[in-house]
Amino acid sequence: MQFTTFYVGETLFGVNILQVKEINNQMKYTPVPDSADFIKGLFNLRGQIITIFDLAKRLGRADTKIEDRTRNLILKTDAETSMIRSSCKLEEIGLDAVGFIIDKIGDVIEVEDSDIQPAPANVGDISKEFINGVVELKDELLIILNVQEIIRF
Amino acid sequence: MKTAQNTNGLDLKNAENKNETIRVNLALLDELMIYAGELVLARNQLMRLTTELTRTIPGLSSVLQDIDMTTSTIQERIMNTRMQPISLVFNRFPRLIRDMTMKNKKKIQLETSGGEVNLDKSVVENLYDPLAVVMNFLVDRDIESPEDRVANKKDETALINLRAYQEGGKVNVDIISDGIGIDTQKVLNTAVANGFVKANEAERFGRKDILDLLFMHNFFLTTIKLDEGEMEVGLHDVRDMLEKIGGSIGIDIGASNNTVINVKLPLTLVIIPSIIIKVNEQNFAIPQVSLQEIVRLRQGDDELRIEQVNEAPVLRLRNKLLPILYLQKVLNMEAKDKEDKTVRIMVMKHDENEFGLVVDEIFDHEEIVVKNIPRFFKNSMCYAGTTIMGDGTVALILDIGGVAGKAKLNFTGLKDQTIMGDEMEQRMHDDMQNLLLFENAKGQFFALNLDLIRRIEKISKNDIDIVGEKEYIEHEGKSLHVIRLEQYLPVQAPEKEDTEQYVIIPKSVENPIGIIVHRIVDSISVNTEIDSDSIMAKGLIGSALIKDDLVLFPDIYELIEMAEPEKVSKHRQRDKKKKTILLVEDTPFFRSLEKNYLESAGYSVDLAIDGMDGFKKATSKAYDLFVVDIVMPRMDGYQFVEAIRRNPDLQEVPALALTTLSSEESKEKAFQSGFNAYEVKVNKDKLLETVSSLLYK
Repeated sequence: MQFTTFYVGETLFGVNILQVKEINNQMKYTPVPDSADFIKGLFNLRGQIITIFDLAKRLGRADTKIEDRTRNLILKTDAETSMIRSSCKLEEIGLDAVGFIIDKIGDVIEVEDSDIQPAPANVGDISKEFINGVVELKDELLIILNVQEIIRF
Repeated sequence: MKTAQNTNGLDLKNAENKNETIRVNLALLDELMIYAGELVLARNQLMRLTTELTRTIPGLSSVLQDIDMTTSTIQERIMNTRMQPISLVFNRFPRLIRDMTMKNKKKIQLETSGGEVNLDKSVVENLYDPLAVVMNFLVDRDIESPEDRVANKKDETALINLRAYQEGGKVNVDIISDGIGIDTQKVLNTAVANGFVKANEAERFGRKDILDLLFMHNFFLTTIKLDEGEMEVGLHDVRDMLEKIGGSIGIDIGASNNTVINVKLPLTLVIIPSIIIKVNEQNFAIPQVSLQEIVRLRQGDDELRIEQVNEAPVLRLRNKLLPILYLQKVLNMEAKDKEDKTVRIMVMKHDENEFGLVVDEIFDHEEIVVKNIPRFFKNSMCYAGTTIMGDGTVALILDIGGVAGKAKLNFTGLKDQTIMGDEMEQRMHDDMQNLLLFENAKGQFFALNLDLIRRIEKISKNDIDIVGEKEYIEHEGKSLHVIRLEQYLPVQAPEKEDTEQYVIIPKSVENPIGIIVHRIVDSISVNTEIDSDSIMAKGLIGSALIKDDLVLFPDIYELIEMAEPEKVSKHRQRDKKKKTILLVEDTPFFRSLEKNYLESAGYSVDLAIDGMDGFKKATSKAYDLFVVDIVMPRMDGYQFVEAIRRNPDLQEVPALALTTLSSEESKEKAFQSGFNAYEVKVNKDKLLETVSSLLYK
């Protein structure tokens, strides 16, 4: 399995690469007043309305500061993954397009299924419910995100 | 195969050859539509960026025009692929009626027409439920039993007529039954008995207000099986269901006291007219259906006009108190200090409740493409959807009902507190006029009030036939005389003729003609007074500055007279001592138009802006005739004429009701109130004929 990895602060996260639609640096969001504080806003990606989550905030940290290396990680909706979802064990995330703000993009990492370990308990400040599993890499820990849980509230 | 045609409602005749149709996945069509929308946005950006370049790069302009036209066509055609005939809905009603009549032993014949009218799939899919409730209402309450019908010398079998037709940008569905009709007094009594209406207010209710009550409260409750399942619904829900798909409903009493229900639907659900507003530097779209008027309070005025009632701000507007909401607060936005101290209030109407919504800036009317609101925001109640603006950014569409609900407006307390007294209140509300803006020679703009326009047709150069010196096109099976503005007005002709042109066909004209125009620019809602002094020529009403462009207002009726002088009736030439007419009209546009007509026939005209103003003027100067609009604030036309008839000095002066209401009932009421004649706006020839007959009888 291949994972797209990225950093939020100093923590390395991964999402199944087949779930990722694209990564871009469009940082002009339309804020949505009267909504959850971890939602950064909306933007238009070729006619599709994307809801952007501030991942750091969602994980209980401070707001993400937008810097040169800040990016949006846009995920595929269920409609876009309908052909491959069951065969590739992707999560159902619904029909509304979502994305996360991330601090820095990492490498694409190939991981064997057997290397993924269940999350023992909370990993650092990240609560267990947001973690699908962890992978011990050479010199750091990769946290596989539970996307479904992050966007459920 | 006939049955196949009935079940899917499609015209299979045109598709007999199997190769001419293919099945397409709906998701693909939706995707195509998204991309077409993107293409339109990109086109708009391209056009904006290249305006300067067209002067320096030869040939660019025509390439851009090609792209412009092709893009619009692609978008239109893709929209068309989603269109479905309304017969898909109509075809379900014979069964519904059969099931109902089996139970209640009534005899009903259903006649449908216009099944071929096409609507967007999403509208068609959501149309059955509201219409089914209406049908239930008619079958249950309106249609009499066969015995009663025979006793009333009616045909034993009742008739319900269901017809669809397109008019303007809307599809109309009329449901007409020949049942017992609606007893307005009974409705009003029920409303009073149930506390919907206060007894002392009831007498002020006109027929229209009473009929409206039917949809405001659940007058008719029934349990029926709808697409959404078995449920208890009332007429109130019908209005909600239709509003969700951008439609509206009205109920009226027909010529033979029968019930006439009119449903208006958008051709496509995805595009709605809206007003763009700004709060805290952020754009929002508000569906235009809910907007009643716009009130601006300049610095200092707000203290006079905004008061506190039960610790909540209210706006004093004419003789009403409206609760005020600050959108900024409703949406929990940060409070910011603004330099601009003007308070802009949009008077909104949701259900029967009006309230004022304070925003920072109000922009123009815009047709927006509605997209879903992502599920993450459903909790807020304040949003109905999202849309993409011309610059590519996302804007939220406000749900007015949700905004009012979130702020928990308490309407009931305010209704009792109306302000009495006839202080001459400064008229703050401006009438919005809907104008069609078009261009003839490049950079020369014209506008016509949309109320005056019946149709706009796109024609190609080859459609024009020349007979003698006149040009004709074929329109609705007849040949129609078409003219060009430059032939009759001191304006320039377009530099070059495009193959595509437009013909504007005006309403209410005895001898219709069409006006060829080069390009349709936009339809806009503005409030503007027409200046009829600066630029004046025969065939023009006047000019106005709109968005910094000088716009000329052609006078359609004068143009017709110039184009076809032989057909114009002769009544205007009767030259006698100059008669003085008092014109009482609240809409600035009609005021200026009607004044112009009357003056063109040689009368001297004074103006009043509503019934109360009119009555003051009528008592201070002698007039030969009153020409009076019916629907006006403060004192309407009926009240005005009743007051005139009670005044011994004025009771002999003839009065003409001039109105957009064209029902028998309003006509009858006009005569009862004391009018001598009744004319529908705005047919110049008939107006002058009637004026002349009243003055010289």
